Amino acid sequence: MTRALFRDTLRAIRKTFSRFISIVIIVALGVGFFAGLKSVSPNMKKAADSFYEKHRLADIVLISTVGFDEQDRAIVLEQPGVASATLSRFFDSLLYEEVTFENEDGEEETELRVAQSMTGTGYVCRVIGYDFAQMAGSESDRLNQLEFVTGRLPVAPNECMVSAYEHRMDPAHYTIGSKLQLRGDHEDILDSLKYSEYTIVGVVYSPEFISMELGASQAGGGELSGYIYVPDEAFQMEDSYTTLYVGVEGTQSLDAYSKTYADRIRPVQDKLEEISSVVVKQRAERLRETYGPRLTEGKIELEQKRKEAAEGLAEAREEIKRLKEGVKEGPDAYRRDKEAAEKRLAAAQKEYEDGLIEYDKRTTEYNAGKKKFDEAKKMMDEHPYALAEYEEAQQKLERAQNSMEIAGIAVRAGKSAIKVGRSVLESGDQERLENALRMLAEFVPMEEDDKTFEGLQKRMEEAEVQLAEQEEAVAEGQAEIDAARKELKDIEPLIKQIHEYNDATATLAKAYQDLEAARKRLEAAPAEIEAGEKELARVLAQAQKDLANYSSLDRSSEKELAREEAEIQRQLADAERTIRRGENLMISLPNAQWLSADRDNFAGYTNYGNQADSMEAFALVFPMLFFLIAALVSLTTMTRMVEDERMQLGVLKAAGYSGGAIAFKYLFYAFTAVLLGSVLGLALGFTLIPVAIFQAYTILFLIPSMTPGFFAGTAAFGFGAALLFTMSGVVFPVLLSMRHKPAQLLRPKAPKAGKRVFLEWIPPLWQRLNFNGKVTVRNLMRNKKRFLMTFVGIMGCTALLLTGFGIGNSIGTMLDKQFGPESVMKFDAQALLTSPIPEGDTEAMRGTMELFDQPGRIHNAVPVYMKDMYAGTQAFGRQIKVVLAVPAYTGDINDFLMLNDEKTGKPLTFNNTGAFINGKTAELMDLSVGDEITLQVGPVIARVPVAGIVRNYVYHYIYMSSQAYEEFFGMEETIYNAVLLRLSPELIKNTSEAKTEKARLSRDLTDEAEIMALAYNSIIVDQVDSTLQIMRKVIVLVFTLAAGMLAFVVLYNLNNINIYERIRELATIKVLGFYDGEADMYIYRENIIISILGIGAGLLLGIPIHGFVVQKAEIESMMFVRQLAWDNYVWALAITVVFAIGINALMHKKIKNISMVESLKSVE
Amino acid sequence: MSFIEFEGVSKEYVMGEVTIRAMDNCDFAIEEGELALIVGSSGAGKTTALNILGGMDSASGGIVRVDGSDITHVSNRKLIEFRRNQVGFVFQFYNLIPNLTALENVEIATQLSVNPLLPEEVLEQVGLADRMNNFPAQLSGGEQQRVSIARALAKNPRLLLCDEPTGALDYATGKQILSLLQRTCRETGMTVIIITHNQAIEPIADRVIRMRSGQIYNVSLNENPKDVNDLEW
Repeated sequence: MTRALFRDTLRAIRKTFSRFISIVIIVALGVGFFAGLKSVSPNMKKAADSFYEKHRLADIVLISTVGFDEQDRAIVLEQPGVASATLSRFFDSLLYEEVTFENEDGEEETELRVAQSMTGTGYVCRVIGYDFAQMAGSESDRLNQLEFVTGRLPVAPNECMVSAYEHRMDPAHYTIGSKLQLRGDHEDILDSLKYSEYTIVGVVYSPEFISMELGASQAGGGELSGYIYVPDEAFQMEDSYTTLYVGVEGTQSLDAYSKTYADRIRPVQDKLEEISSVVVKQRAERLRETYGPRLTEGKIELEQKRKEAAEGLAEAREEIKRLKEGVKEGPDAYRRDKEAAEKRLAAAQKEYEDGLIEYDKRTTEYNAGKKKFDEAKKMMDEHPYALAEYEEAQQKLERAQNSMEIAGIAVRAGKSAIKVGRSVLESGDQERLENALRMLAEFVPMEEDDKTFEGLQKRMEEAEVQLAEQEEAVAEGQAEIDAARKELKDIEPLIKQIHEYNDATATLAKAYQDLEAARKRLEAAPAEIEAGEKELARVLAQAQKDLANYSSLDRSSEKELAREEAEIQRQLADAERTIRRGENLMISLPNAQWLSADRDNFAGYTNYGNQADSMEAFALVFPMLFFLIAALVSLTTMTRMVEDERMQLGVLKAAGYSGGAIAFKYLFYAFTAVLLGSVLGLALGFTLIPVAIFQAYTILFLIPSMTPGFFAGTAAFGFGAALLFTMSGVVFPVLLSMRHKPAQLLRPKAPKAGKRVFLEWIPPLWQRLNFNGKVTVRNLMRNKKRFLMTFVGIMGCTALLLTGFGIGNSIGTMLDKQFGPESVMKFDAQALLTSPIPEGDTEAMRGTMELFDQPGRIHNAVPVYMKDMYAGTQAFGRQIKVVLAVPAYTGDINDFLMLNDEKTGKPLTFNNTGAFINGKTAELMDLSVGDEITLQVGPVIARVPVAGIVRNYVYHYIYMSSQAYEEFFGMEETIYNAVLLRLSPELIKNTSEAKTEKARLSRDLTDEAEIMALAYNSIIVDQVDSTLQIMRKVIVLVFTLAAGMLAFVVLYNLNNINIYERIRELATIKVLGFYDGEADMYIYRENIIISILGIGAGLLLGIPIHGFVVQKAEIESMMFVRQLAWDNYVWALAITVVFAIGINALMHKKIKNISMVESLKSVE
Repeated sequence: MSFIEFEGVSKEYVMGEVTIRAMDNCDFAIEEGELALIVGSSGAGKTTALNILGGMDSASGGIVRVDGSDITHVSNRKLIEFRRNQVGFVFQFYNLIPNLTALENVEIATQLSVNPLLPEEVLEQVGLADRMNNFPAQLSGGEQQRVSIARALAKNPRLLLCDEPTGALDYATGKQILSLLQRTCRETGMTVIIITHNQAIEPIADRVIRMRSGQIYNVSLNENPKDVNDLEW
């Protein structure tokens, strides 16, 4: 390749950058997903392997029915192939926790109760002895070493360490500093351990338990829920162990999960089994020597205890009787209080009634006064000046009378003066003359010469005239007075009324005051009554409470006694059991044996490997799609590029460059894109994907860390595949153009001829199309490569989205379909019985079932026998854990379980011909109806025909009728150990009241001696559902992103080329006068049709892809919901449409900006 | 007032740092129903004038009026309407849509127009009655150009703009095409403007506008234009 050609290639990349980037992105997507998904499995296995190696995980586990001691270990160590052996011991206890609740009196009460496990059974905590001097990283050759994480190591035998997994997942139980209360299950923990309470001091990693699933246990519900490590010294017996771990020579360098590893283990395991019979017999002999005498002692002790217990109980009964009598006198005080309160209430009532009467009276009074007042007021208003007139008249009268009186007096004085005068005249008395004159002087003026009788005469005449005048005036005055009097008399009635009015006003005011007072009194009365009523209610409530207290005291003490009795019985039973165990041990000694297991024995070990492998399925689906698209993208891009550079090719060819040299340019162009894309894809794929998936798995597994590795083979394969697919898209158009002679190349390529399309040969159809339709159909047919690419792109996008949403649906709705209201497990709760009830014991059964007869709280209940067991078939070659459920009666079992046929979904009815197994079990073991399945619980093995295959999503469940169970397991009768409950609708609502009610029901039921624990399905759902919902969101997001990128690359690239190629055509129609929208539609019409076809095909294609991925991604103990929900289709469709519209919108601008002048000018 | 008026029209293209004046202060007018020729050598600015007149490009300065209305200062939408209803274009390289038959190529134009002519009739008029259902690739250059003319005519525009319509054709075919255009102008009264570098055909036009270096240097009227068929060049 010459420098010129190289430069030319670089320039071509720069010129067609968006197309180049399209190829890079699509290759990066394909290679990235391929490498990433492909590397998940080896990465996870590698991480696990180095974890196992660091902790020296045992290769073989030996378990003995009679335990191990140092001598056993020494013998095992001598065997060929054995590198190391470690003794270990454990004790399975029940975890108790303090529960605080509110009792009937509203007081807080605390009680020690068995904690609940995830599955609702008793919480089994395994206490494992460990020598903390030998932690991981130390020189020790101990197997199954722990790794210190945080906190500190135990220094006292009652301190313990917990696993990091529990520490993270269950902080309620496992935080540093908290104390764990442990009890034996039907045995005394102190027989085996020195303490029953352990303080958590630190956190460790353990290689034995790497998954959420911890394995089986003999205690509780048969399943381990947690485990702790305590110092070896915490165990009672010194040289007695439960487990012997064996390390095989040369396994450290081998990969776990590999075949070479398995082959290395097998012969050693066989050898150990071979020697076991001899070794175990020796051990049995040693045991017999030690325990024979102890057993006898124990029996004597038991008798002693039994006697003591009987005495203690008698005493307690006496105490209760005494208590009961003390309770009798409650009611008297109540009666007294009640009477007082009632009296108070009655008084208040009377007060109220009186007030009411008073008020009525006052109201009448007031109304009467008001009427009067109103009348008076009316009159007053009619004669506003009456009073003034009256007063004036009176004054006038007074004045008249006064002047009359004065006038009268004067007249009278005048008359008497005249009389005197006359007598003087008659008498002619000189002396009296002067006197008379003086008297007259008052009326007529006197002169000096008057002092004569003539003068007197004269004056008297004058006075008489004057008097006559005055008398007339008096008469006139009198008339005036009479008139005034009459006037006054006329006004008088008005005045009277005025006074009345004034009175009425005063009366009314008074009446009003009275009324107000009455009203106030009346208003006060109800409050008083209320107070009285309250008092009465209080007294009543108090009385009731007192009564309840009395009776509850009565009841609780009896309950206490019953509990105590049960406790004593239990202790006795435990003691008896210990004795019996001792006896059984003695009996079993001759048959004692070892069981050996490989690493499969460690819970989660196998499952982890399976999980890692399941990811490989994805590694196929995604990349294939992307590679196919890469081939199509490069095909169209290269075709375009070769055509664009046709002339240049001709020139180069004419200049003497060989065909190969010229072709090399295009190959180099594609190679550069593939290389860049691969590097990018590998860089992201090898890191992001394994890390993300590993992170998701840390919910299920505890492998502390994973460093994503580079896998050259995978990288090479991914790069190779991308190169192959992309190059195949390049070679074709390049070879095609190479065939031309230079002269041909130098001429412009004839425009692609229009052609009739097949539709035109069907005139009825073709004629029905409008003009635009015809154009669109022809254009679609014109470039089949592009058509195909877009079609595949859109189809892939829709299929990916459908798969994504479908997986989300499969995971997200699984729990609802298993535990929801209309689901497989319709029952809401499961009550665990303290002591199982045999079928024949109808009385105990009736008594127990009566506890559940609680209308309003419990809707229905059915006894059931539930047992964890192992299921397998000859062909399957191994066993899986299943739960067997045997309901006591099958009549209304549909109320509790929905046993629908796996395929048809139709309900199945119980029969006695065999067992119903769940779909996943049937699928794993390839079973169909009529085949036989082997169920094993302890030493009991039953072969049961499959009577039906039922739908089920979580765990494995096997259902049998009691008759079938008895028949196939050879039992005389079924012993029910649990009761399934359907709660009333009010209790299963998702409200806080319902939750409180449920908690109360749980407490009430577990308070009964017969019921050990109550587990609500809702609790399991709550715990797991949040995790699943997060996974659902992540999956949907990843798929949407991938689909979006796919859609973008394909559609953008396609539209770009499409517009570029048809720029002349577009310019022409613009010149013709197409509006912008019409010009857009000219191109869009094709896109829309391809998109619709692509979406339709994508929705169809998504169904099998989803089915495939879901099935591959499933873990053994779950069956995802394999159907798609209708809204998955809607979402896949809607999002594809949005992507398509978005990209077409981008194109609008490009079309709009096409310059007519420029585009039409040049013809190459 | 004339049917078409150019008043002081200029057009500048900015290419990087260089500014090219394709038209420089051009004034001319064309009457309705005339066959006008814009003649000039390559780069004289005649295509620019035609593009501006056709509403495909906008002037940098001056005013262009068609039938009294200004088309230099209108919205893009109005310009499209103008192209759609009033103008028919004939290009040197035909610009037929390869994927459509001759008839369909005409139809694509008629479906836009307000009062189009019947596509079949127009094709018959241009002498392509037998070739209606052929694709462009199956037609000769002259036939293609006739389809192109039919496409322009079928819209029944008032203005027919032809950019070197005979440029890619041989003498005889070119003559046929010119004859067709002249006949159309005579018979329909359509205003036809032809751009050419060939001064020899000047006599066929009613009006000849001569351009050089972006400027109009001469406009002349032919009192008696010659029939194309009578002209030899």
